[in-house]
Amino acid sequence: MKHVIFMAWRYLGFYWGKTVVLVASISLILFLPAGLHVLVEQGADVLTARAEATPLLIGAKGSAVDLVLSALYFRPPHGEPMPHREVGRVDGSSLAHGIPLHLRFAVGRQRILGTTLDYAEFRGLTVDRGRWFAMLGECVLGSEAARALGVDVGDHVLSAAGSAFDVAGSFPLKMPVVGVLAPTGTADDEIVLVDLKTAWVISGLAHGHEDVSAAEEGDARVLRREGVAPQARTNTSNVAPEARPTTNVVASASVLSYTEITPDNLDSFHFHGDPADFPIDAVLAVPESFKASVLLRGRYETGEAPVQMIVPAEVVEELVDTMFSVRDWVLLGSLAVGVATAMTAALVFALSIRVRRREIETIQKIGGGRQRLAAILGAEILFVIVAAIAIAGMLTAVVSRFGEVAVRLVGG
Amino acid sequence: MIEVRNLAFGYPQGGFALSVTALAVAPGESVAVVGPSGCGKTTLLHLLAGILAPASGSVVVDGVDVAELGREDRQDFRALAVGLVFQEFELLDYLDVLDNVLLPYRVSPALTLDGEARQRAALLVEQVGLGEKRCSYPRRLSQGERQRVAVCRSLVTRPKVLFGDEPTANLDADNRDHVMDTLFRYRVEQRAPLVVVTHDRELHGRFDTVADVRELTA
Repeated sequence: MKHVIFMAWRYLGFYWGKTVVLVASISLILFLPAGLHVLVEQGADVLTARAEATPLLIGAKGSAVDLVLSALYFRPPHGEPMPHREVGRVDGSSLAHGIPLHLRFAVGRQRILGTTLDYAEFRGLTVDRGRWFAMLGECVLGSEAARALGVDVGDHVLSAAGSAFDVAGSFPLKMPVVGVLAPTGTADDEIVLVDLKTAWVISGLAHGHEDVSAAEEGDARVLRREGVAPQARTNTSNVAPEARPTTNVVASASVLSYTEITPDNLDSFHFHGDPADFPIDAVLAVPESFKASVLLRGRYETGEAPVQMIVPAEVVEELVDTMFSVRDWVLLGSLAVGVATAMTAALVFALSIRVRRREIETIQKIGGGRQRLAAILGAEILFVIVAAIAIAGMLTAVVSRFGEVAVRLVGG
Repeated sequence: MIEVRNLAFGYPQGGFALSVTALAVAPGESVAVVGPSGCGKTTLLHLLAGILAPASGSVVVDGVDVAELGREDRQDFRALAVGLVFQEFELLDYLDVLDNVLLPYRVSPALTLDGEARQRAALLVEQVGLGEKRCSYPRRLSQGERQRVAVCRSLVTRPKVLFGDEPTANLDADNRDHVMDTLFRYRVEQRAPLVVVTHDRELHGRFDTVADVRELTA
């Protein structure tokens, strides 16, 4: 047997180019269906597990799949935002508790999730290092987000500007990292978690600047002063209305706007408008019971509400069914390609034996046994097939090991 | 010794046929087989070496009637008793010099590759002046060097008889002499019959007997 292995090994090693091409092509044809199968199964598991852990989702009317991918896997939202009052509508029903989700912004490639601490409690998120955000402008990073951004507690991250050409749009906000979440193996590892109000600050709905209310007449920062009726006064979040001045000061562009929220300038940040109108992308509704869930769904289905309520598990089930259907077609195609590859490989081996006819005749002339000759040629084929199976197996194992991460990356 | 009696052979598809009434080669005797192309020199050599089986008659080599042996036994007979050198060397490109010499041991179940065989192979390679190139592959060798490797391969099993089929046809004079010297030295040392098919008239004088196939078949 050792001579058979020796001869086969030497032949394959000497003609390594041909061997590599054969092994690679057979490996690929074995790996593609196996890898695809594993990837789709894992993708389905990841999608299903997270969807099943999310009872109800409310979002703007449109694609339910987009809504699920955005709210559960933090893909950029495509639909129009909806007003924050939808959270109050859910809470006011006494059937469920609403958790707002704001997903319009990102830090690098990591999506910023503006929400409340209820989200962390609902998902069972825990802080591995540091603490939860307590002040406007602070952020907590998912474990993978911290790794990807190369930051940790005590560092700062900068939100990406919404658009370079939109001067009225969002401006980068420098946010201190106060905590890093423990890994969960879910999409939550990829996020930059901030308070919902911080997300609104990034969107430009709130801002902070130098206090010019006490500025002297003639100060270059003040253009003019105007009287203002109490009901038209600016809404604020952090400053009590009675503390606000009864006159508006129209400031010039030389007033310094803050791009970072600190304890020193926190009081200067204020919101313009009614927070109930402020945008959010989805509401995660956590019903009190199954009955409450059914009742709440009924309200959204029968009414002419401008929003939709979906059950993520149902949406994902449809999505997974589609994935399986596509997978089956791809597997069918792979089978056809596999048959073609097997036939090609057989042809290569057959032609190879034909080309080696003189070599085979020489071996027989000098006393080489027919069985040993067949064993040598068989061993060459066996080595190629075993190597191809091993490589395909390793690739499938890699997909199996990192498939969930890949699914999350593709999803996010 | 080699002894042929009433040998008859024909290819299954017909056309060519060969019959030899009698041929004897004594131990240590050298015979040059000559004749025009297509007269059956190589066929006769293949019959003597047990590569082909005759339709009738006997071919006794070292006391064994090769004509009586089955296919498997003839294979073992060739591996154990016959040394063959071909015109085109017939080395395997994917084996180096030493492994080409040891090829019979790799492909024949009748032979056992042990330390002694390895030593013998290394010694033969050294003797034909290829010690420095024992790890080289055939493509890196000259024609003469390749034939020297082929000669080593034919001698490594210490065969009882030696056959050469135009072994010097593709060689220059120096290499031709080198190859023939090696084969003749072995013939003398081992008292092995040496039968060589050759067109080279300059070599005829070195052989004890020059046998024309046309006369043998007459």
